[in-house]
Amino acid sequence: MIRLQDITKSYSVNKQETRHALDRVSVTVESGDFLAIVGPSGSGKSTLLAIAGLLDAPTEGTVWIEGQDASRWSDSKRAEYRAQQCGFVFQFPSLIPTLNVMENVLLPKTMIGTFRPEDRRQAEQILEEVGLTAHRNSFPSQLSGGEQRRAALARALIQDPKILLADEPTGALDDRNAELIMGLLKGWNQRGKTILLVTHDRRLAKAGNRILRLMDGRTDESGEDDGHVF
Amino acid sequence: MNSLWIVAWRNIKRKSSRSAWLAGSAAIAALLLFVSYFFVFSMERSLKAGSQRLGADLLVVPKGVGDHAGDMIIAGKVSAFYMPETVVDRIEQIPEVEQVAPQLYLKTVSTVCCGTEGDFPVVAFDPQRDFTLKNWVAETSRTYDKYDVVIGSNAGGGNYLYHYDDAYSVQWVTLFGKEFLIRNVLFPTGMGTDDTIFMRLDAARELSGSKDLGLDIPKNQISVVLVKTQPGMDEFVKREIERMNLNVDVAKGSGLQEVVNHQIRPIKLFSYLMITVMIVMSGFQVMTIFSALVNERRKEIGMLRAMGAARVTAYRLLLAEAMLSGMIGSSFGALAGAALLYDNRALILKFITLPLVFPDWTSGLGIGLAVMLAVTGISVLAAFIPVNRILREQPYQSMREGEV
Ligand SMILES: Nc1ncnc2c1ncn2[C@@H]1O[C@H](COP(=O)(O)OP(=O)(O)OP(=O)(O)O)[C@@H](O)[C@H]1O
Ligand SMILES: [Mg+2]
Repeated sequence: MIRLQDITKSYSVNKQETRHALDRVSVTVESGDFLAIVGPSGSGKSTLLAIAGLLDAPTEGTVWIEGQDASRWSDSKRAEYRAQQCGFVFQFPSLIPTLNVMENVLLPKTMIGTFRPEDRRQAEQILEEVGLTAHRNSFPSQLSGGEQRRAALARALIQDPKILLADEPTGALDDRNAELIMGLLKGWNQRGKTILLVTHDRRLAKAGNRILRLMDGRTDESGEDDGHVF
Repeated sequence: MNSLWIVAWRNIKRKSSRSAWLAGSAAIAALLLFVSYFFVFSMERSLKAGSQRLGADLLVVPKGVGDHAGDMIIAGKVSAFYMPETVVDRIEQIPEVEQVAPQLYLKTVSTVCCGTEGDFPVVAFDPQRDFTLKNWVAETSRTYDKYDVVIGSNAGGGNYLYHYDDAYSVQWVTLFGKEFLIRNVLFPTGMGTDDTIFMRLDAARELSGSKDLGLDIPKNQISVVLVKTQPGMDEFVKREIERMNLNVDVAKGSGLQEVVNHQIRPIKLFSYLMITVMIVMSGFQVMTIFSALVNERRKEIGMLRAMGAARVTAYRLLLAEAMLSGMIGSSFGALAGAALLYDNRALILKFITLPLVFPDWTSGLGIGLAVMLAVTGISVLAAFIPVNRILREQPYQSMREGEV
């Protein structure tokens, strides 16, 4: 369970001005949840995801993980938590440019965890699920944007994380591939995994069992939309 | 763990020009470090050799010559004064005496030595007992056959040095109607020995007598005995010899050593200074290049940390890169330095008018390895600072603000 309590994240634009990327946002994610985070560009979705995944520290507020205040954790404990529990798909290209797709997917095993020969078979299987088998030896620069995104998803899944934090994983994909990925995520969620999904696409957002709407860094409760209740 | 080295190595290859800069500056640092350390090492050796040479703690000369004994060595004057050879044995029997080396002053000869014409004092020495010349030559391992000579650095030594490493270039000098092979050359001392030609005592005795050859020395006589005493015993031994009533004067020789030490000290200090400056400079250099490198790698570090890499893993990745570059660069630099020095050692010996004993190749290798280690260590240490700066920030910040 992840509980974000009154999370504020502010950046100082210049000496006088500060901007709130997030402004007292609270949300609780139970394990097994599929939370869709929606909102206009710049509303703070990526920031929220980063804070929930312990990649960034909030300016104010508390992140509770399984009842513990994560801000009190040491760097190595946070790293361990990320390595064992979290899988990330970022909005921007995030593959290591000097490693090919296969090496990138195996990276969490080889560099951080411990690599075993059977991991390679698992990687092959995940690559097949995201439709990248043909590209396993390609380098990131040789892939299209959508392919890179899918490779990043494969890498996020290799450690079999309990929580998947995905920032527009379908952003650069055509409908068919987007559906493939959504199907994958749903299947993943049905196996009891928690998913935090950022998307602009309200259609995709409905795949989740809950929706969090953000507007200018705040939870948007005006409910001006297609009537989906959360 | 192996993917750490793969990533590090591929990064080096990918940014080949920057890596070349990094390795290149490591190479230059290694080169300069090698050269300066090499000189310090050489000078330490020659200083040791020098103290042994001039470690003639006492000079024993016939009575009446005493006051001039030191001057004679410095000016390289050869005058005909003799004392019986038995003096050597008598002195040797004093327990506090460690070594005695007799020398016989023959004659000043006008001849041509290695294309250098001049008046050269010729002195005979006993290679078996010699402990002074032995350590004052560029090549300490050489032995002397009967008709071999050792020449001072001015007695054609400069020309000789050109051919120093050329085994086929054989130089001869004619003395008393006999051809002598030049086997070795003495380091410059700034003293009389620079012009002197040293031949073996037995050769001198053999040639003496036949009047037409121009050498006539009394039988069983010598001119001077160089004495090495146990440490701190020179005053005691001096008095012992004087009490023996050998009809000799005893002079202390230690003043000469200080002259040479004095000559070398500023150069030594300078070299140490150079080494320090080099280490600091190469550290800054690597730090600058590495700051750029780490900034390029900022996003990557953020991503690795997002995947669960702890700070130490990121440290290891970047420091591995610094280590690889440093190692590659410094090995090239050390090799270049070694090649440069050993290939031109005759020239270096000629132009540096200081006693330089070249390290043999195993010491050279040792210096090379030490330099490699030092430069690699500096690279890693210098890299540490910019790496640390990046690792202090949140992973998400590294990812957002880093470039790819
Ligand atoms: N490092 C930063 N410095 C200054 N402002 C920042 C920084 N990071 C984020 N912001 C601001 O915080 C706000 C929220 O950013 P965020 O990336 O979370 O938006 P988003 O909802 O993910 O947008 P998009 O849908 O376009 O990805 C933006 O206005 C952005 O300009
Ligand atoms: Mg975003």
